[in-house]
Amino acid sequence: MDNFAEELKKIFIDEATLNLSDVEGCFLELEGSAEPKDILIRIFRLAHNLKGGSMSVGFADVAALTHELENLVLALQKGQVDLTTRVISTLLACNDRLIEMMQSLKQDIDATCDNSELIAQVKGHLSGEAPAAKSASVKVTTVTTGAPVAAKKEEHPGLVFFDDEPEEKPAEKVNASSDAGHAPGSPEKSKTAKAPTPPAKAEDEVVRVSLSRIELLNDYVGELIVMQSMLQTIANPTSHSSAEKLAKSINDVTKICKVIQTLSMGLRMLPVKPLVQKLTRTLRDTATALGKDVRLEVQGDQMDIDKSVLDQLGDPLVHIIRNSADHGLETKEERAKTSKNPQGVVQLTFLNQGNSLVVEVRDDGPGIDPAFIRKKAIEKNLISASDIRTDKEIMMLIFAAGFSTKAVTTDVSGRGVGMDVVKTNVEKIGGEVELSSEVGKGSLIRLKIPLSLAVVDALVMTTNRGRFVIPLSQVQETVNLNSLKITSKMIGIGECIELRGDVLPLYRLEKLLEPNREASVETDSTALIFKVQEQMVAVSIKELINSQQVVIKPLGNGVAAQVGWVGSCVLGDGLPTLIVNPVDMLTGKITNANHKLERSS
Amino acid sequence: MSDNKMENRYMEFTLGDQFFAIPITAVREVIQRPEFTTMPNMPAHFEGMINLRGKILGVFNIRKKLNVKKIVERAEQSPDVVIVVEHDSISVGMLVDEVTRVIQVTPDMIKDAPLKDDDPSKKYILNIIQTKEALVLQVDVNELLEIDKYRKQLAA
Repeated sequence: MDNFAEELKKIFIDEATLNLSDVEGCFLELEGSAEPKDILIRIFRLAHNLKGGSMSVGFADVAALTHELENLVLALQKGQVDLTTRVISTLLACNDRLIEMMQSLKQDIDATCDNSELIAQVKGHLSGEAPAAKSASVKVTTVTTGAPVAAKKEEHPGLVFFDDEPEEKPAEKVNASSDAGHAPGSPEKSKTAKAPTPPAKAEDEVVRVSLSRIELLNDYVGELIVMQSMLQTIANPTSHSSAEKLAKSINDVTKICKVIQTLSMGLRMLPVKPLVQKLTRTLRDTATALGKDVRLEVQGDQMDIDKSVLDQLGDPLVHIIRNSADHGLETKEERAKTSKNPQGVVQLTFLNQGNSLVVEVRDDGPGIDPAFIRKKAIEKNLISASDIRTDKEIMMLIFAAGFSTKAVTTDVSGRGVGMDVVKTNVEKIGGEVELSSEVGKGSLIRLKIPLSLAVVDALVMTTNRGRFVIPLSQVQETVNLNSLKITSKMIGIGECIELRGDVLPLYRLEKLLEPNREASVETDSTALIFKVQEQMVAVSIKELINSQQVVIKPLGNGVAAQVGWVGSCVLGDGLPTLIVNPVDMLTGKITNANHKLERSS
Repeated sequence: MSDNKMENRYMEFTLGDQFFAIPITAVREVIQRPEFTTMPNMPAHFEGMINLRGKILGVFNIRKKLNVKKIVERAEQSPDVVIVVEHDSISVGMLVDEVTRVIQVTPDMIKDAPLKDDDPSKKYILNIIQTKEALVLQVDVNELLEIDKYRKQLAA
């Protein structure tokens, strides 16, 4: 196949993927819309584009399916076929299949797909019969000589590239170079000759950015270049420029840099709308499968959030929404008994709170009874019957791996994986999960996530062993240790301080970072207060330097991450500095202390 | 053609009174000893992090790994330098005394290294390159800078 045709196909796939997500939105709008005509015309137009495009680049399978889809939409438009939930389900199934096809085509341009079942279903609607809505069980199959991985793409989309050709080339090249000219025979040589596994690199992703944003950015970069030449003139020894002029120029540069930073960060910001659309769909499908009537109310969906945050947020929210539909809401009959509106409501709210994004999912279901959760957790051996836990801690067990209140695993739930994914993913991006519930009234799950992963507010501090940075979001407060009494060597706790009536264990950051090293005798001046698994903990440092924004970079090349190492950043003096999160270092160590404290009190 | 030649070139550097070499294709650049940030809880042969034009790299003190003592007089006249090695887009620094020259190596110059079994540095040595001036040890950068180990941790 020549490159041009392949290029065209790739462009088509990208465009089609975008179009399909538009179409999905239209389908969802259709349901419950009083005036479906306009929407149908819009769908028809998109389906027609898709058909034309796929035919011209030679995707016959796609064209055949879209052709049938087009017929059905046309019939709906003319009123020949009634717009029932079943028809919409078929439309959505077609849409899903097309998206699936696009994904497989993206990885293997020659992939084919058997759509006869779906086509039959569409034709059934057209001829007036109503075939039972079949589950789309036909999987996209790859009929090529392609790598065996391609067949598994649905389960491991990220891993496919692991075996891709271009990844292996650099490794081979390096081996070739280190082998060049070696005499054979030394045992070490065979060691190097073995191809090292290339790191699993993520696919270079694409973000659509408005041209005006790029132009604005370009303008400011232009400004910056002007400023740079001005600075060069000032620096010229023959120019006799004043210090005043220099100070002014530096001031200007600072301003421009700020603007450019904001603009370039803005390039990573994506609207949250498509995610909301996906969630609407998830809720609809789950509720339909369970025979429940649920409405989703969305607030704050006009927000833009950082792409990497958005990517990480998708899965947790899908799980939460599914959970809300399944556990969070009662069936119509149950709701009628408790004199609630038979239609359940799930509220999804996005809001900005300082430097965080807050996502709330609230349902008006039966709420969660801590006693019930406790019972289940004991059954699942997650806690022992003698464990003393607060209601809040009990509620958090919902997020533990393997926890499920369901006796039987169904399509929708029961494996005890979903909520674990929520907590893990959210914590991975530095967020927090909160759960509150009122029996009979409903539950609220609240995710608090940093708005951007790249720039954070942080505290710069020193220990006796160097300088470190701690993300500000983790720090509850800072206290001056000189004004507090430190009780040392308390049995079972070690050092502790009393703060406003509470007893807080005191750790030295120095010791946390280097447990095997003898801590210095010098005393620390300040303590930072952290919340570790609901327990307040003090971590002492030598001195607080300042609070500033830092750009998070990966840990240096060749430096393997250790527990609590978030990344590194470059401070004002140009030196790299380690960003650490004491909460991570203390998680797991505190639980005991916590319960010891609880029992002794 | 010139590419072929590149692969037969080695960068020679010194540690103490010994000469070592690595393929020049593995070298990204050589920089004067920069300022280091030491890291907690790291092995002794890890010197620290450096900021190389915004990219942060770990630097290894391979003297400690190869068991080479620093010669004091020598250190005074030649400040040490960092060779930045690049392997599959992973860049790591190694601290050496001095980069001395680039050697053009022909296959006949490469000899098996008669390694002693009980020598701890043994696993880092690949061959001996016999030049007119000196015997040069070809070291295994991958092993020395723990690049594979790091890559595995990255993938995990």
